[in-house]
Amino acid sequence: MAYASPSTINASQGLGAVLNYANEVSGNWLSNMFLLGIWVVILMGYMKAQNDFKGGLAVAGYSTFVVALLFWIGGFVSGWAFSISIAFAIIGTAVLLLDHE
Amino acid sequence: MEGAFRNSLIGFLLVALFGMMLLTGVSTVSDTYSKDTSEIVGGSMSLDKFNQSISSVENRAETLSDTFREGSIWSTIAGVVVEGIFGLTKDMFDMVILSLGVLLGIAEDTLKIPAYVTSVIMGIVIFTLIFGIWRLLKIGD
Repeated sequence: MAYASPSTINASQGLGAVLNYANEVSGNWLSNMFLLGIWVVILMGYMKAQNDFKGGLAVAGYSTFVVALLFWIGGFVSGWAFSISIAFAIIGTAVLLLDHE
Repeated sequence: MEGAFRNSLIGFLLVALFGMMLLTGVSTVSDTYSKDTSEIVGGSMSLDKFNQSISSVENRAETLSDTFREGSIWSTIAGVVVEGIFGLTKDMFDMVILSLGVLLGIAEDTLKIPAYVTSVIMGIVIFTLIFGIWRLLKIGD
């Protein structure tokens, strides 16, 4: 598969064009790693701050969903990655609401 | 422990409600920005499935409400005990199983969790529900 040359980046569109190019030549893995990184950082941060894993799952899932929604509207992440972020938000909420302890 | 079944029931209903809210939001935003949602809200993550898991709650609640409003106190109590309780518990069972089915469908189709894992979880929850409902009927809590 032939990828576009970096010289095709329209620099007048700012960093977004560079990110889109990097995302394209990495087979969408750049955006996927962004989402995964956001999810992990929020989960770990919440766990460290609150010592609550189940709450962290819900908060990280919902936060990642919001970012993924914006990325999806902008065409930065695929529908497949966005659907996984929705699934994480729903499953995280389920874990939180079904916690009886 | 006594309230565990009731909490599970309410928890599953709230999860279904949350899922509907999330997917409705996605549909609205996608309409605004002309995005294709066929890849997202189709399959196991469809609004219809979430809606189906919630709609039975409203139907049963309205039926019970009518029974309480229209009958005398004795016929109402007898009706609930003789006719209503079994239907009520069956609906409780369905409410949880439908919501859980949607969740496990998402886990299987979207998160690619193997089917044998979700089957085992479903089996455990069904056993738990049967014992939970039996306990609920036995002690009336």
